[in-house]
Amino acid sequence: MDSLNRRRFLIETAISACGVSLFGAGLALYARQASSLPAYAIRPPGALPEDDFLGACIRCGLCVRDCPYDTLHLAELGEKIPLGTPYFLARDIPCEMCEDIPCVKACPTGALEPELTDINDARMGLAMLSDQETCLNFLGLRCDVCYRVCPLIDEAITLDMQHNRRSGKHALFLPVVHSEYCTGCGKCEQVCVLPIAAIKVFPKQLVKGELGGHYRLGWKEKEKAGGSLVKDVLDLPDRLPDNGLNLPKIPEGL
Amino acid sequence: MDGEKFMNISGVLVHTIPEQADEVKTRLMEIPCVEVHAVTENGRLIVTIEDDDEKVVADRALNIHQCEGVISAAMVYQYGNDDEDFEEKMSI
Amino acid sequence: MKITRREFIKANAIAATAAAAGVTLPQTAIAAGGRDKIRWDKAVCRFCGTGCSVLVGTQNDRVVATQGDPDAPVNRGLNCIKGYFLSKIMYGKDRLTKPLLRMTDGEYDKEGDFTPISWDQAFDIMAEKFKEALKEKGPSAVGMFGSGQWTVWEGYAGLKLMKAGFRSNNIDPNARHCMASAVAGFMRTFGADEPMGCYDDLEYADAFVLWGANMSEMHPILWSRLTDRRLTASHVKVAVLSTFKNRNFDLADIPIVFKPQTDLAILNYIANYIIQSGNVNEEFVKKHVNFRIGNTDIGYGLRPEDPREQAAENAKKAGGSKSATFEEYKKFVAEYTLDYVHELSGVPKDRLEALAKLYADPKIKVTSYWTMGFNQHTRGTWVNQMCYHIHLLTGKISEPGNGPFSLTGQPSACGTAREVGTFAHRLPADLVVKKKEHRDFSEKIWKLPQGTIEPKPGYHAVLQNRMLKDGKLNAYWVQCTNNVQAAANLNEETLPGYRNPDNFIVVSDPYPTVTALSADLILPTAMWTEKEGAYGNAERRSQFWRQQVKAPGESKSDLWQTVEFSKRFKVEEVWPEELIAQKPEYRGKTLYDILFANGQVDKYPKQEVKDSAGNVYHNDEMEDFGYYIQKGLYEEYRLFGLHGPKKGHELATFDQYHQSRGLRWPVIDGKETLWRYREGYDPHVEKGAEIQFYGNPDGKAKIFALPYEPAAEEPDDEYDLWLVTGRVLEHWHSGSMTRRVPELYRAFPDAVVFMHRKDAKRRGLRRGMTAKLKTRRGEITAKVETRGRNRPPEGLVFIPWFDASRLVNKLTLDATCPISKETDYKKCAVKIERG
Repeated sequence: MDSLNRRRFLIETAISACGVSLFGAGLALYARQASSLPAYAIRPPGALPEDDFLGACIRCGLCVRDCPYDTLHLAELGEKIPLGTPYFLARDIPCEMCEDIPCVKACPTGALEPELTDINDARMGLAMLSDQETCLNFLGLRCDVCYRVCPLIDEAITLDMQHNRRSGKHALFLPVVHSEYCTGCGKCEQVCVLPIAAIKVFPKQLVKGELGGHYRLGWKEKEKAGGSLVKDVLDLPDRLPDNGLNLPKIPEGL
Repeated sequence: MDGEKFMNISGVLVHTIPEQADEVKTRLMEIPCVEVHAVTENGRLIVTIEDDDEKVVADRALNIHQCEGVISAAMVYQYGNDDEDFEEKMSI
Repeated sequence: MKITRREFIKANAIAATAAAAGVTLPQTAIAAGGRDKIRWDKAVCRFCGTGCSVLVGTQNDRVVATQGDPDAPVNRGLNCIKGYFLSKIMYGKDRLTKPLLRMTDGEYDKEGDFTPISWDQAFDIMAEKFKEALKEKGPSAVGMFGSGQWTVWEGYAGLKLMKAGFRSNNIDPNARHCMASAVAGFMRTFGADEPMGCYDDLEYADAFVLWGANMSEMHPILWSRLTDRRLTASHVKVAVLSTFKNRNFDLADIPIVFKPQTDLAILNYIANYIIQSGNVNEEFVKKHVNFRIGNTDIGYGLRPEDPREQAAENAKKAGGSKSATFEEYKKFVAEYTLDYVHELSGVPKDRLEALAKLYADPKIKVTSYWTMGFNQHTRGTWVNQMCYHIHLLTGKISEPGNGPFSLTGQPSACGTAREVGTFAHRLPADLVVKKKEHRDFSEKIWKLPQGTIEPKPGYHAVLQNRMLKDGKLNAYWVQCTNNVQAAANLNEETLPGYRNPDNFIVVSDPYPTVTALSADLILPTAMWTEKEGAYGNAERRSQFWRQQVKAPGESKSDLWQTVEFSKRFKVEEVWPEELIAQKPEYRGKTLYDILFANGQVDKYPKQEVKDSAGNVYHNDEMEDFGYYIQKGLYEEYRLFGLHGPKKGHELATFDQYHQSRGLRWPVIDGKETLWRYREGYDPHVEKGAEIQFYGNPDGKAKIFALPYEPAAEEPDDEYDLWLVTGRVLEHWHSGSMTRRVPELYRAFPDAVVFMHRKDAKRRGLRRGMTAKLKTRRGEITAKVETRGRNRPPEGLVFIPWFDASRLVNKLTLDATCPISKETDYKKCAVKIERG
């Protein structure tokens, strides 16, 4: 190989490498600017919206002291979390959802809202099955550990059963999180058996979509109304030989 | 310890025209000392070059670069030193 | 793990490059250094009776990865979460690697500390103690407790050593706790053990009825198939019966929570409904069924001095029956009316009727499944039989989609415990020690003098513990099971026997389980793919695997231990002169010579174990004994199925199993049998007979008139709740394997007591608080769970038994089905207060 070619190669390689590292630097900058509270840190139950919370929290640490499960920590110097404020990491020790909510009771300032008396009403975050590619249940295995550990099993997490087309004779049990019930306690993230959890708790505003107000879900509206919203609609019988008894049945759905 | 005094192992990220990724993979596999470990959906190949001679490694890298269907080949990882204590560290 | 430097660097190169591309490669691909240096070979999952096939990836003598076998008919590449972690079960940090004997100052001492010794020393002291017991009290003083997790040949070697060598029938498997009632039910009804159908029923049935089988957690992959059938065929119905709401109820079209023990009444109601609604398949019943009336008031298998046994009229004749007519049976079940059974069971009438209709409607193909809800039952044999009755009355049996199917909990409860017959009363291939014809045949196969095998059944599992406590069983060997944690009434019956100074207890295990730590001598044991093995699953499928890796330290397989131990006994030390006189050539020989080096077991010379790709595998036992001992044992065992007096147990050859993904027996003319007893499916059925239950001499099945009788211990004013024990998906049995997998431990670290919120509140308890659970026999503490996967009704609590730090069996009662001798772990009375 002649030296010219070799030089060309080295130069080209260097160009590629630079491209990669520039991109990396950009990401890091973006991440720093994006949020004051990192997405992985979760506030205790009843915490006010982040800005209000930071204003109200006096960093006294009483909620941390009264947490019976050592779930809560106070942010220390050097962490990306505002110094002295309480938070927890779901993957380490999630919120056990105490019925008497001792952390809220301990809060002297209302940074943790005293109106929160039923722990099921807490909204610390929202669990999200963020990686369907590695979730074992999406692959057809029978893990569903997140589902069974959920304190609001069958409400906050349900299993959507579907046919496994690959195996042909097994079902997929797909975990689905319901924001109506999920408190963001993080039990699911803690127990996910993967080396990196496929289900994680995020700040709700990062993950939750919103339906446009100009459209309604007909089947839900009907359910709410207890019947069709439009009354007395005429439907004539279909003309079919033998009253259609010999026709294959069309699936009626749920 | 394998006994090699000097070994050169490089990790190369190869960008291809996505439609041709599989063909490129076949072509690359024919180059001595070159192994393709993965092909991503968008047509990138995870490749290693492995030889005891540093010069050979560079030559192979160029071969990759010139291969039909390859847009670029980026050397991401390069190893070429000798480390006496290495074997001990490896007993996990 | 030891990897070469080159592999490591290469792995780094790949990882770094992949990271730059933003892709994640599986860890194994990186560990392999890109080039797939993992050797893959087939095996079977170590856990439940489903028998999922797996591929085991080995690298540098270590299992580094596993995968579900994508071509396996049972699981098609899938696993549950336990199976997902198979590669980690052998590598717990506390693996035992040396024999450990309780010693003080260099001498054996029952109260001493565990001290490492050599295998030679271990066998020295063991042989001394076994010989002492044999000499002083005879064969009844030695015993062995085995396992439905033994490989086929381990069970076979253990059976042979005990029944032929020591002439003691005191061998029983942990499967006694697991499916003995299913066995007794099959034997009483069909004269032959194990289900007639297979898992293919999951794709053929129109309705499934789950009778005390929490399939969604205990047989996760089968549940996945059942669910798929329900999803893809809209007419399919699922009925779920349990004493508390479990995950099965997610899929239930007919959900039924009944009061404990009333399943007996529900089944008789269904029989009554079938008869009253004119849905008896009269031709089928006339041709293929006999009727009998079974003895009632049969007691609870407790110690004979227990008042409940004293009061029971037929405690000593539990298995008795007399012949009857269909009319008598009809009259008998007629009292199980809808009103009566609704009252008794607490189940709404419309649900009882809906359930009965599934069975009664001739157009609906019904498969019934059950596991421990039926089997662990003081009327376990009856309740199994009653389920057969409703299938027999309607003729819904032995055809695709129609049949009763008992699921097993252990990977080889069928293959080893039942088929090899490692029970106190059994011999291989459905033979029993009571029958002279069966003993004669076994002695012939085993080349033993006539009269070697004792006709009296030995001590069954529960009796073994009682006899240990009473000092009648003195030298005892436990293999491949954790019975101190598993057996009921730990404080009063199990532990006193293990620690009785008259007894010498040996436990073989890979890990320091509760049982191992209760022993006097612990033997370190090779597990799963550290040895060549064979398991048989619930659908009669036998699967083989090769040894993949070496066992750590000085660990040895149960097979090696049993066979090696037999070398320590001269025949004169164990057999009386009149036996030896029949076979003078055995004089001066060891039990090893007679049982194993007998020209059959040692028939296959040492060979290289190779797969079709040319990979070579270890076989440590072949190396040590100098011949292919697994093959020799298997081929000898196979003779029982080929030539034995009970037909229908034909197995394929050793080599065929190694080449296949498992075959369902009987394997005849190179074909598997999917449905037994029906012409066209089962070659044993004579032409034109349609159906033949050939386990019974007249080819007919038996229906017994059997009543509802109450449980052994019911809640009262003081102990006011029903206690139900069981499992969870994440852990298997006593947790000795799964609790050593960090991820599974984290997923369900400690046993909790599932109870109704109101029951908790009444006792001043809230979710997460520690509660004290107390029965007449012991107490433990556990945290209260009022949410979660299991939802007991008021008056009943559920607690899983996997947790070695809270031994649930301190609470349970050792009441058994008097016929099957299987313990009822599902019903006793408990009180709960703040801990």
